[in-house]
Amino acid sequence: MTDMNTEDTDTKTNTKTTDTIKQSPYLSTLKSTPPSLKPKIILTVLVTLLAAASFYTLYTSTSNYVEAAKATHRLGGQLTSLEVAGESTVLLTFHFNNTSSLDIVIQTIAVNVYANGKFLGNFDRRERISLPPGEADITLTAEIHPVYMDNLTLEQTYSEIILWFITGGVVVELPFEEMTVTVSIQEYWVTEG
Amino acid sequence: MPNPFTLKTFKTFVWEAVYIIFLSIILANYWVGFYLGRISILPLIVPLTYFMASICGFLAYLFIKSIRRAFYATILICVLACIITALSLFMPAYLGVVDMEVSIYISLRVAIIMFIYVFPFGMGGCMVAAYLFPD
Repeated sequence: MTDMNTEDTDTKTNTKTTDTIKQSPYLSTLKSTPPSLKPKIILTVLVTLLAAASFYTLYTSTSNYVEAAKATHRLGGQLTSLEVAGESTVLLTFHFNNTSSLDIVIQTIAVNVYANGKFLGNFDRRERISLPPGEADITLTAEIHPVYMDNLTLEQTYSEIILWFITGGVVVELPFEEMTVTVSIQEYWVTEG
Repeated sequence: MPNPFTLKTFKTFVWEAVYIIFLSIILANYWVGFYLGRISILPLIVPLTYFMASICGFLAYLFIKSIRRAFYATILICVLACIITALSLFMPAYLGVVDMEVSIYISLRVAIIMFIYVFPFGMGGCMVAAYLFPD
């Protein structure tokens, strides 16, 4: 008796479930779909979701790449001023233009300075300088070592003009897991001797 | 012979074309991430980059269920993914940020190297799927 009652209950439940399926339009549509199409629909949904996520990642990665290229290739580093301050000090002012939307950081500026082809030394500024989007001027103080002072003194005494040649680079930190890129600098400047 | 110009075949053609384009976007995404490294927001999983072509080939066969058509579809996926990757890497030059000639060279080089890798892997995935789930 008990078993029969249980069977009755099960049958009722099954009937109810079938009714519920019949009432749902989505499930009835899926039920009416030919069996060969069901795996295709599932695969399409899966691939569409993955493709949507991939498209977002692809777009963001490409945008980051463009911004990183702007930050490094258009940074500039032109010499806008060269001033001989005192006997052995040269002030070099570089102009930077961050055209990207990234907040970059200049880690190091390191340059070799030549006066009429005579080497005056290697100078650097190892200081983290934040460079938000926009323009900025950074001054590097070059204290010439006594060993190379004769080179400068001779050129200042005997030459009418001094052709300065500055070559080196700037280490730029991008906001991608502290990724660094070196941007080269090669500038000329002319002063009276 | 069935008429190839019926609405049903057209629908199937469009559906398969969209599916193939989606798979090529998925594949290109991993390779762009692989080449851009830390610039990409994608977590860099190098083995997954190589196996993604196999996964795409596998999914292509499961959808098409015909070894001959899946073979051509996989080639198409590989070619499209290479083109998408090359275009993505070419974007800074297109926007005038970097040198055009160098960028064209880099993009073409990346596309060719990528195809050399993804084509055998994609075919492998397609063949494995065909072996596991025959027509």
